Amino acid sequence: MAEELEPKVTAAYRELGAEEPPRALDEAILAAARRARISPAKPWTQRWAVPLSLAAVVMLSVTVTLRIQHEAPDLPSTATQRPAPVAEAAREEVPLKLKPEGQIKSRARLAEKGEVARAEPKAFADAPASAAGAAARNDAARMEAANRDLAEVRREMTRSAESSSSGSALSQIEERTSRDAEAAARAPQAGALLAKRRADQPAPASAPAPAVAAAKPAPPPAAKLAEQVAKESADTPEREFERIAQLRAEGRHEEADKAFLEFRRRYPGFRITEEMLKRIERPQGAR
Amino acid sequence: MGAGDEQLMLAYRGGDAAAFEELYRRHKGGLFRFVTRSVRDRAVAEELYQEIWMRAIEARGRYEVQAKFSTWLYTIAHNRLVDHWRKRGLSLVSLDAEEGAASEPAGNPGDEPQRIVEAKQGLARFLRALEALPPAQREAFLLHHEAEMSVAEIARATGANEEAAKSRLRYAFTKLKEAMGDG
Repeated sequence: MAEELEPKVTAAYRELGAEEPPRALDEAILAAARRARISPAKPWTQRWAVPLSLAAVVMLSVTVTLRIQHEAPDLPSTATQRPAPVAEAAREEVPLKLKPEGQIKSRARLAEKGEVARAEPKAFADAPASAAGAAARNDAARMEAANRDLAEVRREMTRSAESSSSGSALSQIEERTSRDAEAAARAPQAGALLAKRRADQPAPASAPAPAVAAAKPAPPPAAKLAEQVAKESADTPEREFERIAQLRAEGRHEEADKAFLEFRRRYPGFRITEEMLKRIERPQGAR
Repeated sequence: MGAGDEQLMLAYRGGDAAAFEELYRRHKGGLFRFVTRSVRDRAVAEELYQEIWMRAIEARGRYEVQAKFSTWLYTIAHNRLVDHWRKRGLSLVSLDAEEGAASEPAGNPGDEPQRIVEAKQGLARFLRALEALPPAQREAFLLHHEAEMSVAEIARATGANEEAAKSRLRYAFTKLKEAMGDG
C-alpha cells in the first residue's frame, strides 16, 4: 500500500491538522436532518403500495364483473332484484305440484285479465316495499292464484257433472279433475313444507332489517294457505260421502242434496261409481 | 461497539434523527477536510460541504446497503465537486491532467499568509504541493487519508477503474514526496 511505502507523506499530512466544520454549519445541517425526519422518506415500494393496491382492487372488480356479465348475461345485476330464497323454493315446488298442464293455461288467462293483481291480499298490498315484502307478496299471489284456479276447475266440474248425464263426458271430467285431486291432496304437504322453511330460514342478508320486522306481524302466506287447505282436508271424501248417504237413508233429502253439492264442490275429482251413486240419489217420489 | 454506519443510515431513513446525528459526528471532520482541501476558497468549500450533507439527507429514502456508508457519502461528495469544477470550466479529462495543466490555479502563498505563517516550513511546502496536485490525484489522496478508503473503494466512489485509482494515488504520493525534498 502507498501509505506503508510513504509513511513520511502520511505523517506530514496528519500534521496539517484536523480541521472541523464551524459549529453554525453543524447546527444548520443537523436542523435540516431533523426537519426531514418529520416526513420520513419511504422506499418506492412503500410509497406506491396504496395506489397500486387500489388499482389492483379496481381492476379485479371490473374483471370479475365483466366476466360474470359475460358468462350469465340474463342474471339479475343486483341483489335486491333477486327473490327471496323461500319464494324461489315456492316457485319451484308449488306450481309443479299444484298446477297440472291445463291449469297453467287457466292461470295464464287469469294473468291476462289482471285478476292476479286484484286478488292480492290487502295485508300484503300494504306491506312496505322491500325485498322480503316483495318476495312474500309474490309467494302469496302465486298460492292464491293456484287456489282460485283449483276452485274454478272444481266449479266447472260440478256444473258439468250436474248438467251432463252422459257417462263419457263424466268420465272425461273425472279424469281431468283427478289430477286436481292429487294436487289438492299434495297441497297441504307443500304448504306445510313452505311454512316450515319460512319458520326455520332467517331473512335473506340482502333484505333490510326494518322490512323483515314489518313483515312479521302478518302471518306467512304459505303457512296460512297450508292451514286453510289442511282444514278443508280434515274430513276425507269417503267419510263425507258416507255422511251424505246416511242423510239420504234417514230421509233428510234436502240436507243430503245440499251436502252432495258441497261435496262435489270440495271434491270435484272424487270418482263416484254407479253403486255409490245409487246410495246417494234421491229416490223417485221422495220429497 | 455501536451500530455500524449502514445501520445508522437505515435507522435515519426510518425516522431516527439521533442516528443521523451519530453519523454526522463520525464523518463531519473527514468530509470537511476532504472538501476544504479540494477547493481552495473556504467559503465555497463550506457551501459545498453543506450541500453534500443536504443531498445525503434528501437521498435517504433511496439509500440501500450496497457498500460502506462512507463510500456512498463520498460518492455524493465527488459528484458535487465534479459539478463545481464543471462550473469553473474544468472538464473531467482535466481531472487527471498533469500538474498545473488544468487544475485550479495554484494559490499564491501571499493569499493565505495566516496558514503559511502557522505552518512549519516543510508543511507549507507540503500543503502547496497538495493544492497543486491535479484534482483526480488529490481526490484519490484525500479519500485514502480522510475516508480511509482502499484503492477499490476509491475507484468505486469516483467512478473510475481500479487501475486508474491506483495510478492516481501513486502519482499523488510521488509528487508530495518530491515536494518534501525526499524525491
